[in-house]
Amino acid sequence: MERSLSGDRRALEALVGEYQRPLYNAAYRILGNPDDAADATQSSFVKAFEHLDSYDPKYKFFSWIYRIAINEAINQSRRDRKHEPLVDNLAAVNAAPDSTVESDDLERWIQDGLMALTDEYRTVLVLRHFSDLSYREISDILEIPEKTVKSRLYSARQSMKEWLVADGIHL
Amino acid sequence: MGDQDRLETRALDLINAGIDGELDSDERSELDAILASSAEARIMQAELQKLANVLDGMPEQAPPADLADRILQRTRTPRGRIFALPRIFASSQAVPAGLAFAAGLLLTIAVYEMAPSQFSDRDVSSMVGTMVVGSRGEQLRQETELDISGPGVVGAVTLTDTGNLVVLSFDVTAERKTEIVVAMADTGLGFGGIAREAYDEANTGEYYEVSGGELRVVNERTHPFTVYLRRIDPARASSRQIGIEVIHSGGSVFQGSLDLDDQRG
Repeated sequence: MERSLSGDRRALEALVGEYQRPLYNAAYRILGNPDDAADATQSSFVKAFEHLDSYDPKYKFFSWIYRIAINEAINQSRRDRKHEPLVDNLAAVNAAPDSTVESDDLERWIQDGLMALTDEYRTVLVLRHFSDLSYREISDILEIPEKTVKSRLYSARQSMKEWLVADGIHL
Repeated sequence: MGDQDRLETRALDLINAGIDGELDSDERSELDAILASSAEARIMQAELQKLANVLDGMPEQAPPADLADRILQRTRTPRGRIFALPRIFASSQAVPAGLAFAAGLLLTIAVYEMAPSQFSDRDVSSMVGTMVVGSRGEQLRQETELDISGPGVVGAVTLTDTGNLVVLSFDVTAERKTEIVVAMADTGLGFGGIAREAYDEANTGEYYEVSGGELRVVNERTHPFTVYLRRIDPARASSRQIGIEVIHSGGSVFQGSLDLDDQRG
């Protein structure tokens, strides 16, 4: 970290190597497509490196760069808003209501379900289930109390469950 | 009334926290008791657990193979305008006093670094207002001067060590635009800030950039400037030399170094 702060190229490469995969995955789940996720990940690193001087080593680096990446992904999502309305999207492909979802379709259903959530709900679900972070870590990244993390997670799960059931999807 | 409404908030809290592995032993026991006595709670727990399992089981996405290269190609600390500090470093003759003063200004300069777009180059009032108390009192170490001389270029750079800061004062006269490179990789030093004595609207071609452990300052002919380097991790420094290179008319015309050991003894 200290070497990165002094502009050491190899140290920056090491940071990219360590964090590009988890940040890309979080961005992918928030944005819903690989190209946007790659753009958001790239922008996040570039912004982080441009502002390394503002990073306070007292705090965890991963929280800091995750925060940048999540903000970047959400901002990009708000800019684009190019995904179709979820209910319509799902209805178009849901040929067999009340059926059990085939594994091939499962990922698409889940991603569509995520995209149907608000940014706040989607973000906590992504950080908890796709980034495997604790309440405390999510709280640090989003700069919200743990209690808020918990309540958002509960509401997000409930919303997603109800949304799936309403569209005839039984896990 | 939905499922959630029929279950007590406490039960839902515990069910969700249990799914997330965030229960302590007392809470675990409390949840077990709820599940043992409530079919509704068991159904809710099973449904939410199934959803959580599905989310946890989603495959990880591999980033594009060239993503790291794309990131690193675009990674470069931004070009910054050299901060103009008219009247503050009013005279290069008053270097010791000016440097003590400069130590006090460093945090303010760092603020400028973080958000350069929020300030104009000439706005120095807020810098004075946020001066760090106590830094004025730092004892200055002995200075070391390195003469710079090459085709079309003449001058000197003075290194002064304040303890937390290493200050390089450049006074170089050149026939044309010069690029001055300060190589500080592996010295345990990081870029802290840069300032020059006078501001000239005409010199729009001046800038600096920090990348790969090097500071590069593009300077218009004759403009003294001062560079502030912070001691980030001296214990892990493997080099005690700051390299100085001057590029003039497209070629390297001077290479030298300043030894930090001269200052720390």
